[in-house]
Amino acid sequence: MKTILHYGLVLLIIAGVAGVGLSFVDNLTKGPIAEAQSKRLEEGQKLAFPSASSFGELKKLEIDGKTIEYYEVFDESKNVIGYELLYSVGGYQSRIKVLTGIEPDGKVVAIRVLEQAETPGLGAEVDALPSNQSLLCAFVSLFSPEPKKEESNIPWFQAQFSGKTPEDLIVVKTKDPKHITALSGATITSTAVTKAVKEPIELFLKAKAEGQL
Amino acid sequence: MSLFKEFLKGIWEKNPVLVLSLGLCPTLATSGSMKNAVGMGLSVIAVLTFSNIIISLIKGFVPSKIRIPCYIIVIAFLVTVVDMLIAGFAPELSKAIGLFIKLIVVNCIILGRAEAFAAKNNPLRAALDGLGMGIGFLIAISIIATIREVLGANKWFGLTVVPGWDPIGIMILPAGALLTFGLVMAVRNVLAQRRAK
Repeated sequence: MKTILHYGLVLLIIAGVAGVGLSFVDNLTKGPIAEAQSKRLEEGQKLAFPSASSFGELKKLEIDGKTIEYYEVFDESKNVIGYELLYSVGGYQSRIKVLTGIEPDGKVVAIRVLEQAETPGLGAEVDALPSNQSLLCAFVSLFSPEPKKEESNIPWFQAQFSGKTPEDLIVVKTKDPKHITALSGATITSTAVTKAVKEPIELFLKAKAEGQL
Repeated sequence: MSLFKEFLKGIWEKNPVLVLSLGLCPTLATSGSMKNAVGMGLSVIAVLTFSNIIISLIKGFVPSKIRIPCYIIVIAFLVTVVDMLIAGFAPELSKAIGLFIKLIVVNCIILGRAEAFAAKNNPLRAALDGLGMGIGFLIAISIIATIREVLGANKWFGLTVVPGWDPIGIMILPAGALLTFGLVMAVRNVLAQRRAK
């Protein structure tokens, strides 16, 4: 009996101290974490619809038993110039969350993969930047006084979606500017991202035609 | 054993990955690219050093029969703190390695060192042991990640190594991780045997 009380007390004290410590750190980091998350979303929103001046609140839409989340996109005089659809699908080994900016007729403005944890070197290349900077160049530029060249911060795979209509969103394995060229060795991820763009647009247009907005 | 040797043993003689074979799950999972490997290595150094110190401090207070749950609480506490601090103050790093931080809880290097070393030694020695083991882990995982990323993706820290060369995709996948790990371990054993002669 005495040992049980003793053991219980020791565990209680350790867990208690850990709990107090955690709540303290949580208080300290709650603000910055929320800030970082909203900043990431804001950056994504801007990239998925570069000409927008402001965005509406997150809205939900139910159609065919599926839910799409979307934002309205406004220009300077508060006219709706398009929408941004938030949708996630299962990739090769993770959930892929994509934000797609579209014009009212469904044409893609730009897309942004917000979250993914696909295989590094294969599927994770959806986030790879177009720069083919080699190790040697990077090493040399460390010692050269010239300022670095501004590089595009839109991954080449995601850049392919800009200006496409939903019918054009087909994954192909050869280079074809009319469709989506798959990442080499990552067809499943490429197809998943394409689905995460195409499916919500089709659902959204259908809901719009039915007057659900 | 001198204090410096206490620190040094984790790097070669008792390297946690290549000799003690501890923490293989995170080693295999995060050695696909240097960026992930270094992030994981640094977080392990931080968690391992502090968990060793705390466990060494509370060793007189914790009855031996319930030591394991006590250690787990300490380790889980530290991992959560590191996770929250990174998410709050280094969001870019958190995006890259956030998934792996939580894996540290079950990294048996940490529980292994708590049980085998920190619970029997004073805080200073425990801290040096944790630091040395952590650095040993970082070195081992970096070697494996360098081989895998260069051969499997033709990249190092995300930068192309040989422009125009088509890499060997399997090295990035789990099979490549096991192959590389086995070979690096073998090379280390051969070198150790030569030295002993």
